[in-house]
Amino acid sequence: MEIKILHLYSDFMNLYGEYGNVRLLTKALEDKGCEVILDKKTVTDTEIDFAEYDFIYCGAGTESKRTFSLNHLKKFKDSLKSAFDAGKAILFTGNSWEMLGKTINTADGRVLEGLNLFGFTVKEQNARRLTGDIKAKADFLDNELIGFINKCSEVENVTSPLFTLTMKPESFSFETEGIHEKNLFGTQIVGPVLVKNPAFCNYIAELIINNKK
Amino acid sequence: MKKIKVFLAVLFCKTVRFFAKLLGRGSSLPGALTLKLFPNILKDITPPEKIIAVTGSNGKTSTVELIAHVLIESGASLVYNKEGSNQIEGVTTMLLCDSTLSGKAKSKIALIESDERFAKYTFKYIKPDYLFITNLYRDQLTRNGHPEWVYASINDAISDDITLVLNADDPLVSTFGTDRKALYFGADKLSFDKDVNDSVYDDGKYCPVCNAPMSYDYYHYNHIGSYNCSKCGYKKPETKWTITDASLEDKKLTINGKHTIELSFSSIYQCYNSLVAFAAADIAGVKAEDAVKALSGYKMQSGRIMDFTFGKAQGTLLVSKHENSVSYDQSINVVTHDKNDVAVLIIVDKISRKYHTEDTSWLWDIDFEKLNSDNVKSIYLAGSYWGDLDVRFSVTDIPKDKLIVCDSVENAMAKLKDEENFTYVITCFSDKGKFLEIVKKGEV
Repeated sequence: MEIKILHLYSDFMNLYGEYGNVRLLTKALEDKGCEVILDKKTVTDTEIDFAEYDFIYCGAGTESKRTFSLNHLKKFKDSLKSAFDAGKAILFTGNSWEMLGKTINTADGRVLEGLNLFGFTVKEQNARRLTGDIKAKADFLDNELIGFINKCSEVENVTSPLFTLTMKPESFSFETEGIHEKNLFGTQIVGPVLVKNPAFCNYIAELIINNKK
Repeated sequence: MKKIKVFLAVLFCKTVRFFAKLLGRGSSLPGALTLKLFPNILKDITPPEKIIAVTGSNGKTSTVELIAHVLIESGASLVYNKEGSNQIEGVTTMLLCDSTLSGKAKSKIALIESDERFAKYTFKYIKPDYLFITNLYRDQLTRNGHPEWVYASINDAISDDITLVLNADDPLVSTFGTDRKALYFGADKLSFDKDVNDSVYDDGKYCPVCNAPMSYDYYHYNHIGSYNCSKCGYKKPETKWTITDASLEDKKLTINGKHTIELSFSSIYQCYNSLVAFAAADIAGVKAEDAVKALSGYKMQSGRIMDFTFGKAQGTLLVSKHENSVSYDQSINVVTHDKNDVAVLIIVDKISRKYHTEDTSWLWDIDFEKLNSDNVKSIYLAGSYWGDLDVRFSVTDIPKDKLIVCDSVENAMAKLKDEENFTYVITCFSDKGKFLEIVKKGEV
């Protein structure tokens, strides 16, 4: 089976070694007998057709680079929406998933329009970084997820979070995190979340393969 | 009233320092206690006439050590935070202990190493005349966020009366100088430069000013080099202090075409550190010949490079920084440039001495791929994070039979005892103690 992966903005939404997710998922798919083709698209690309891919990934960036990619991704939001509606496997980690909502209020007072796949809103500040190791429980996995969150934002009005936190730093006021609708997964966990969570990696690999069957 | 306050604060700080030293405590505690009792004391003292500060991600402590060495050799009256306590508490200890009881500085020059995130607090009352910024890398992101976040923090510490001395080769650092009083240091094209950035990530790909793609004439290492923006024209600024020639084989560098310094340990880092020390000496009025003389052959005291023998194994410990890929990349560079066959031991046992985290995403930013070099015969991976190292190395093309994965430092050392190739040990301050202890014992 041939699987086509799209890594979005791999050249700068890659602040905490996020390319590791794509490397490990590729390995997992290859171990299951798939042939994996990796494609990368970035801000200099003028055409993206999400329908071409079996899996779409985007990692974390600085706040300014997030805005930079959001402005570019807006041009292709209808295609992304169709891919989501069609049940494609999509993973956005770190602050990249925050682009998928309605609006982002930036620390310098601007209101950015999001990609509008979901109705949630994001508020950023520049006074304090929220960082720390977390553990979490997602309903579709037996094992607890582990990871590290590194952000400066609060998200409101998520109707279907990805997981419930079971361990977190005191500074985190939220109990749930991320988003999970259809086959789209979004989480603020930064870095190679699939490396630290082989069960999650395997789950996504199976999902991609079953989608393709 | 103010006089009495200063008198009490200086006396208190010196007394605490005296007892703290007896108890083997660091230089941060006396300042911390003094600031509790006298929160704004730095405003009321008379600091040295000239204040030079150094901040940035990497090389602060080494640079400060080198600058201090040059200034002291030239007979300057200097106080500096020797022990590297670089937040406001350590700086308070240093300045108050250098004061008379009336609060007047005894030294003429203060040299301050400042933590990049806390500079804004330190510089509120103690304004440097010159602020050196060495570089901004991905460093301890679990607490620092990311380089642009640190940038904003340093930016808050800069006021118009400070002259900035900036690394022109670092695209993010050089932008601090836009519309400000700034001088620059940097390196011209060097013999070992590269045309492409072959690291696993590239923080110089897009312009820090306008986000358009940048091109480079050459890279010294990672994203450090000569860049220019295709859209807004932002480019590497002209440098006042310049490495015009350097050879890592011959262990020397030449500044401004005429001042040649012999290095005791050859690395691109040491070249930059020496350049900064030369520039600081120039600013402090030291003659170029005297600076060259002091810097030539100087052996760093800060213990980042140490030789060791353990059983059959002989080698060098290259102290690197966990959570800082550029620092690891520099050590890997030393390994792959060795003309002999070598072994490498990488230890990740405890990520930080100062705070707890289990985040190992930084391992993915390190160019471990480069260890796939003919001269590297075996690679030992050890420490409590051996699993993370194992997965990271599994996606490199390094032949599996070269990898020796050990679930503890002890197990790695037991195997290392019989290693016949010269061995480089790459690890952090937080983990070197465990290694050195076993070396000292001579057995596991």
